[in-house]
Amino acid sequence: MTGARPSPEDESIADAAFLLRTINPRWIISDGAGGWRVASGAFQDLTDPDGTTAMSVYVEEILTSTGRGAANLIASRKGWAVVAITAEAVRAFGLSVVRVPIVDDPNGDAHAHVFGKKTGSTQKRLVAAAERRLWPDDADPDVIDTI
Amino acid sequence: MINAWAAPQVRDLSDRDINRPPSRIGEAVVALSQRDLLYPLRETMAFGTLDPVSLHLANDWTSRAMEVLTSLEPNWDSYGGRAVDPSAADYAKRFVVPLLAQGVSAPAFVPTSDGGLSLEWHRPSIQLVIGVPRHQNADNRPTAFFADDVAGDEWQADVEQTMPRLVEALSRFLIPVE
Repeated sequence: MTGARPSPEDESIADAAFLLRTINPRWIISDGAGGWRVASGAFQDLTDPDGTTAMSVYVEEILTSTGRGAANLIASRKGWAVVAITAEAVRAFGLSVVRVPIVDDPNGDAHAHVFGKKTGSTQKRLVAAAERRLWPDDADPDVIDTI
Repeated sequence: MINAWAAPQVRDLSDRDINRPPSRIGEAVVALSQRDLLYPLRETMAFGTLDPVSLHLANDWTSRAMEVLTSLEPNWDSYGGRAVDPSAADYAKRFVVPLLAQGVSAPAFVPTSDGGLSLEWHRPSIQLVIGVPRHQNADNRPTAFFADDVAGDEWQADVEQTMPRLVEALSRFLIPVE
Protein backbone atom coordinates (compact mmCIF):
# COMPACT_ATOMS: atom_id res chain seq x y z
CA MET A 1 0.00 0.00 0.00
CA THR A 2 3.07 2.19 0.08
CA GLY A 3 2.56 5.27 -2.02
CA ALA A 4 -0.98 4.32 -2.85
CA ARG A 5 -3.49 7.13 -3.05
CA PRO A 6 -6.84 5.72 -2.08
CA SER A 7 -9.88 6.70 -4.03
CA PRO A 8 -12.19 8.33 -3.41
CA GLU A 9 -10.82 11.09 -1.21
CA ASP A 10 -12.50 11.44 2.18
CA GLU A 11 -14.83 14.34 1.47
CA SER A 12 -15.86 14.57 5.11
CA ILE A 13 -12.58 16.40 5.70
CA ALA A 14 -12.87 19.87 4.20
CA ASP A 15 -9.94 21.52 2.45
CA ALA A 16 -9.94 24.19 5.14
CA ALA A 17 -9.63 21.64 7.93
CA PHE A 18 -6.37 21.67 9.85
CA LEU A 19 -4.56 18.39 10.35
CA LEU A 20 -2.48 18.20 13.53
CA ARG A 21 0.74 16.22 13.86
CA THR A 22 2.44 15.78 17.21
CA ILE A 23 6.18 16.38 17.15
CA ASN A 24 8.31 14.59 19.73
CA PRO A 25 11.60 16.18 20.85
CA ARG A 26 13.65 13.96 18.58
CA TRP A 27 11.98 15.61 15.61
CA ILE A 28 12.95 19.11 16.71
CA ILE A 29 16.40 19.87 15.35
CA SER A 30 18.74 22.77 14.66
CA ASP A 31 17.85 24.91 11.67
CA GLY A 32 21.50 25.77 11.16
CA ALA A 33 20.87 29.43 11.94
CA GLY A 34 20.54 29.42 15.70
CA GLY A 35 16.94 28.29 15.83
CA TRP A 36 14.98 25.08 15.80
CA ARG A 37 12.85 23.45 13.17
CA VAL A 38 10.79 20.35 12.53
CA ALA A 39 12.84 17.59 10.92
CA SER A 40 11.87 16.29 7.53
CA GLY A 41 11.86 12.85 9.11
CA ALA A 42 8.81 13.87 11.14
CA PHE A 43 6.69 13.47 8.04
CA GLN A 44 7.07 9.82 7.18
CA ASP A 45 4.79 6.81 7.06
CA LEU A 46 4.47 3.97 9.49
CA THR A 47 3.29 0.54 8.44
CA ASP A 48 0.71 -0.79 10.88
CA PRO A 49 0.49 -4.47 11.79
CA ASP A 50 -2.43 -4.74 9.39
CA GLY A 51 -0.21 -3.59 6.52
CA THR A 52 -1.57 -0.09 6.21
CA THR A 53 1.19 2.38 5.36
CA ALA A 54 0.34 5.98 6.16
CA MET A 55 1.15 9.00 8.31
CA SER A 56 -1.15 9.66 11.26
CA VAL A 57 -2.70 13.05 11.97
CA TYR A 58 -5.64 14.42 13.96
CA VAL A 59 -8.41 16.54 12.49
CA GLU A 60 -8.46 19.68 14.59
CA GLU A 61 -12.09 20.58 14.07
CA ILE A 62 -13.19 17.23 15.45
CA LEU A 63 -11.20 17.90 18.60
CA THR A 64 -12.45 21.47 19.00
CA SER A 65 -16.06 20.41 18.46
CA THR A 66 -15.85 18.59 21.77
CA GLY A 67 -13.85 21.16 23.68
CA ARG A 68 -10.46 19.65 23.03
CA GLY A 69 -7.50 21.01 21.12
CA ALA A 70 -3.86 20.59 20.21
CA ALA A 71 -2.84 20.61 23.86
CA ASN A 72 -4.78 17.42 24.47
CA LEU A 73 -2.53 15.59 22.02
CA ILE A 74 0.64 16.26 24.01
CA ALA A 75 -0.78 16.51 27.51
CA SER A 76 1.91 15.78 30.12
CA ARG A 77 4.58 15.49 27.45
CA LYS A 78 7.14 18.18 28.15
CA GLY A 79 9.07 19.46 25.17
CA TRP A 80 6.69 18.18 22.54
CA ALA A 81 5.17 20.32 19.80
CA VAL A 82 2.09 20.24 17.61
CA VAL A 83 2.07 21.51 14.04
CA ALA A 84 -0.90 22.06 11.74
CA ILE A 85 -1.30 21.74 7.99
CA THR A 86 -4.48 22.29 6.02
CA ALA A 87 -6.01 19.37 4.20
CA GLU A 88 -5.90 21.53 1.10
CA ALA A 89 -2.13 21.83 1.31
CA VAL A 90 -1.70 18.11 1.90
CA ARG A 91 -3.87 17.33 -1.12
CA ALA A 92 -1.96 19.83 -3.22
CA PHE A 93 1.17 17.76 -2.57
CA GLY A 94 -0.52 14.74 -4.15
CA LEU A 95 -1.45 13.13 -0.85
CA SER A 96 -4.89 12.10 0.37
CA VAL A 97 -6.54 12.23 3.76
CA VAL A 98 -8.91 9.61 5.13
CA ARG A 99 -10.50 9.70 8.57
CA VAL A 100 -9.66 6.50 10.46
CA PRO A 101 -10.95 6.60 14.06
CA ILE A 102 -8.98 4.43 16.47
CA VAL A 103 -10.17 3.10 19.80
CA ASP A 104 -7.02 2.89 21.91
CA ASP A 105 -6.41 6.63 21.92
CA PRO A 106 -8.44 9.22 23.92
CA ASN A 107 -8.35 11.45 20.84
CA GLY A 108 -8.77 8.59 18.42
CA ASP A 109 -12.11 9.87 17.15
CA ALA A 110 -10.19 12.64 15.38
CA HIS A 111 -7.53 10.37 13.95
CA ALA A 112 -6.89 10.30 10.20
CA HIS A 113 -4.36 8.81 7.81
CA VAL A 114 -2.41 10.73 5.18
CA PHE A 115 -1.71 8.40 2.28
CA GLY A 116 0.78 8.83 -0.50
CA LYS A 117 4.52 8.78 -1.02
CA LYS A 118 6.46 11.21 1.15
CA THR A 119 9.44 12.01 -1.06
CA GLY A 120 12.16 14.37 0.09
CA SER A 121 10.50 17.14 -1.84
CA THR A 122 7.12 16.37 -0.28
CA GLN A 123 8.60 16.31 3.21
CA LYS A 124 10.30 19.66 2.59
CA ARG A 125 7.00 21.18 1.54
CA LEU A 126 5.12 19.67 4.44
CA VAL A 127 7.62 21.20 6.87
CA ALA A 128 7.31 24.57 5.14
CA ALA A 129 3.52 24.44 5.20
CA ALA A 130 3.29 23.41 8.84
CA GLU A 131 2.14 26.06 11.28
CA ARG A 132 3.31 25.83 14.87
CA ARG A 133 0.23 25.29 17.01
CA LEU A 134 2.20 24.49 20.15
CA TRP A 135 5.93 24.83 20.43
CA PRO A 136 8.23 24.29 23.40
CA ASP A 137 9.33 27.49 25.12
CA ASP A 138 12.88 26.30 24.82
CA ALA A 139 13.51 23.60 22.27
CA ASP A 140 17.07 23.01 23.43
CA PRO A 141 17.29 19.22 23.85
CA ASP A 142 19.19 19.85 27.09
CA VAL A 143 16.00 20.99 28.74
CA ILE A 144 13.56 18.72 26.98
CA ASP A 145 12.33 15.63 28.69
CA THR A 146 12.11 12.69 26.37
CA ILE A 147 9.60 9.92 26.75
CA MET B 1 38.92 23.75 12.30
CA ILE B 2 36.10 25.72 13.82
CA ASN B 3 33.14 23.82 15.08
CA ALA B 4 30.18 26.14 14.93
CA TRP B 5 28.19 23.96 17.31
CA ALA B 6 28.48 23.89 21.07
CA ALA B 7 29.99 20.44 21.08
CA PRO B 8 29.78 18.37 24.26
CA GLN B 9 32.72 16.35 25.46
CA VAL B 10 32.46 12.88 24.07
CA ARG B 11 32.65 11.30 27.48
CA ASP B 12 29.63 13.34 28.57
CA LEU B 13 27.43 12.25 25.72
CA SER B 14 23.94 11.38 26.82
CA ASP B 15 20.83 10.44 24.94
CA ARG B 16 19.96 14.11 24.79
CA ASP B 17 23.13 14.96 22.90
CA ILE B 18 22.72 12.76 19.89
CA ASN B 19 21.92 15.64 17.57
CA ARG B 20 25.12 17.38 18.48
CA PRO B 21 28.53 16.74 16.98
CA PRO B 22 31.52 15.16 18.65
CA SER B 23 34.40 17.10 20.02
CA ARG B 24 37.06 16.87 17.33
CA ILE B 25 40.13 17.41 19.48
CA GLY B 26 41.81 15.52 22.30
CA GLU B 27 41.35 11.87 23.22
CA ALA B 28 43.85 9.15 22.48
CA VAL B 29 43.98 7.16 19.30
CA VAL B 30 42.76 3.60 19.65
CA ALA B 31 42.81 0.73 17.24
CA LEU B 32 40.19 0.98 14.59
CA SER B 33 39.39 -0.43 11.22
CA GLN B 34 39.34 2.37 8.74
CA ARG B 35 38.47 -0.06 5.99
CA ASP B 36 35.17 -0.95 7.59
CA LEU B 37 34.31 2.59 8.51
CA LEU B 38 34.92 4.03 5.09
CA TYR B 39 32.33 2.03 3.24
CA PRO B 40 30.46 3.21 1.18
CA LEU B 41 32.23 6.49 0.47
CA ARG B 42 35.84 5.35 0.48
CA GLU B 43 36.27 5.48 -3.27
CA THR B 44 34.49 8.72 -3.84
CA MET B 45 35.31 11.02 -0.96
CA ALA B 46 37.28 14.04 -2.05
CA PHE B 47 37.84 15.92 1.16
CA GLY B 48 41.42 14.89 1.83
CA THR B 49 43.26 12.57 4.17
CA LEU B 50 41.46 11.07 7.13
CA ASP B 51 42.72 12.03 10.54
CA PRO B 52 42.77 8.88 12.72
CA VAL B 53 42.11 10.87 15.90
CA SER B 54 39.06 12.47 14.40
CA LEU B 55 37.98 9.15 12.96
CA HIS B 56 38.12 7.58 16.40
CA LEU B 57 36.14 10.37 17.96
CA ALA B 58 33.59 10.37 15.18
CA ASN B 59 33.22 6.62 15.48
CA ASP B 60 32.81 6.81 19.25
CA TRP B 61 30.24 9.58 19.14
CA THR B 62 28.22 8.08 16.31
CA SER B 63 28.26 4.64 17.94
CA ARG B 64 26.85 6.06 21.16
CA ALA B 65 24.15 7.92 19.27
CA MET B 66 23.17 4.74 17.46
CA GLU B 67 23.01 2.84 20.74
CA VAL B 68 20.48 5.37 21.98
CA LEU B 69 18.39 5.28 18.84
CA THR B 70 18.29 1.49 18.59
CA SER B 71 17.06 1.39 22.19
CA LEU B 72 14.05 3.68 21.86
CA GLU B 73 10.99 2.49 23.69
CA PRO B 74 8.08 1.21 21.60
CA ASN B 75 5.69 4.04 20.75
CA TRP B 76 8.40 6.63 21.41
CA ASP B 77 6.73 8.97 18.93
CA SER B 78 3.15 8.39 20.22
CA TYR B 79 2.24 6.89 16.84
CA GLY B 80 3.41 3.37 17.57
CA GLY B 81 6.93 4.04 16.37
CA ARG B 82 9.66 1.41 16.45
CA ALA B 83 13.21 1.78 17.65
CA VAL B 84 15.75 2.37 14.91
CA ASP B 85 16.61 -0.96 13.35
CA PRO B 86 20.25 -2.06 13.82
CA SER B 87 20.56 -2.36 10.06
CA ALA B 88 19.68 1.30 9.56
CA ALA B 89 21.92 2.32 12.43
CA ASP B 90 24.83 0.39 10.97
CA TYR B 91 24.38 2.00 7.57
CA ALA B 92 24.16 5.45 9.11
CA LYS B 93 27.30 4.87 11.11
CA ARG B 94 29.30 3.72 8.13
CA PHE B 95 28.03 6.67 6.14
CA VAL B 96 28.53 9.40 8.72
CA VAL B 97 31.78 8.52 10.49
CA PRO B 98 34.15 9.21 7.59
CA LEU B 99 32.31 12.43 6.86
CA LEU B 100 32.74 13.72 10.38
CA ALA B 101 36.38 12.72 10.36
CA GLN B 102 36.94 14.79 7.26
CA GLY B 103 35.34 17.95 8.51
CA VAL B 104 31.73 17.65 7.41
CA SER B 105 29.44 19.01 10.10
CA ALA B 106 27.36 16.50 12.01
CA PRO B 107 23.88 15.75 10.73
CA ALA B 108 20.87 15.50 12.96
CA PHE B 109 20.12 11.84 13.54
CA VAL B 110 16.34 11.73 13.21
CA PRO B 111 14.60 8.45 13.97
CA THR B 112 11.60 7.73 11.80
CA SER B 113 8.47 6.01 13.01
CA ASP B 114 9.07 2.90 10.94
CA GLY B 115 12.49 2.16 12.39
CA GLY B 116 14.55 3.98 9.80
CA LEU B 117 16.75 7.04 10.10
CA SER B 118 16.79 10.45 8.50
CA LEU B 119 20.24 12.08 8.46
CA GLU B 120 19.60 15.79 8.09
CA TRP B 121 21.85 18.73 7.38
CA HIS B 122 20.14 22.11 7.39
CA ARG B 123 21.47 25.57 6.73
CA PRO B 124 19.57 28.70 5.71
CA SER B 125 18.15 27.95 2.23
CA ILE B 126 19.94 24.61 1.81
CA GLN B 127 19.26 21.13 3.10
CA LEU B 128 20.51 17.61 2.56
CA VAL B 129 18.55 14.64 3.85
CA ILE B 130 19.72 11.03 3.65
CA GLY B 131 16.82 8.67 4.15
CA VAL B 132 17.91 5.30 5.49
CA PRO B 133 15.15 2.67 5.39
CA ARG B 134 14.66 0.25 8.25
CA HIS B 135 15.97 -2.52 6.00
CA GLN B 136 17.99 -1.79 2.91
CA ASN B 137 17.37 -3.92 -0.16
CA ALA B 138 16.68 -3.55 -3.85
CA ASP B 139 13.25 -2.08 -3.18
CA ASN B 140 14.24 0.06 -0.21
CA ARG B 141 17.45 1.89 -0.94
CA PRO B 142 18.87 4.83 0.97
CA THR B 143 18.02 8.05 -0.80
CA ALA B 144 19.56 11.49 -0.88
CA PHE B 145 17.47 14.66 -1.16
CA PHE B 146 19.17 17.99 -1.69
CA ALA B 147 17.64 21.45 -2.06
CA ASP B 148 19.25 24.84 -2.55
CA ASP B 149 16.40 27.32 -2.56
CA VAL B 150 18.56 30.24 -3.68
CA ALA B 151 20.03 28.43 -6.65
CA GLY B 152 16.75 26.70 -7.42
CA ASP B 153 18.50 23.34 -7.34
CA GLU B 154 16.59 20.32 -6.01
CA TRP B 155 17.12 16.63 -6.61
CA GLN B 156 16.53 13.23 -5.09
CA ALA B 157 18.35 10.02 -5.99
CA ASP B 158 19.59 6.70 -4.68
CA VAL B 159 22.66 7.32 -2.55
CA GLU B 160 24.74 4.70 -4.32
CA GLN B 161 23.95 6.12 -7.74
CA THR B 162 24.57 9.77 -7.16
CA MET B 163 27.98 9.94 -5.54
CA PRO B 164 29.44 12.89 -7.49
CA ARG B 165 26.41 15.07 -6.75
CA LEU B 166 26.24 13.81 -3.20
CA VAL B 167 29.87 14.62 -2.50
CA GLU B 168 29.32 18.09 -3.94
CA ALA B 169 26.26 18.51 -1.71
CA LEU B 170 28.16 17.32 1.36
CA SER B 171 30.91 19.83 0.64
CA ARG B 172 28.34 22.53 1.35
CA PHE B 173 28.33 21.40 4.96
CA LEU B 174 32.06 21.34 5.59
CA ILE B 175 33.05 23.06 8.81
CA PRO B 176 34.99 26.24 7.93
CA VAL B 177 38.75 26.02 8.33
CA GLU B 178 40.21 28.72 10.55
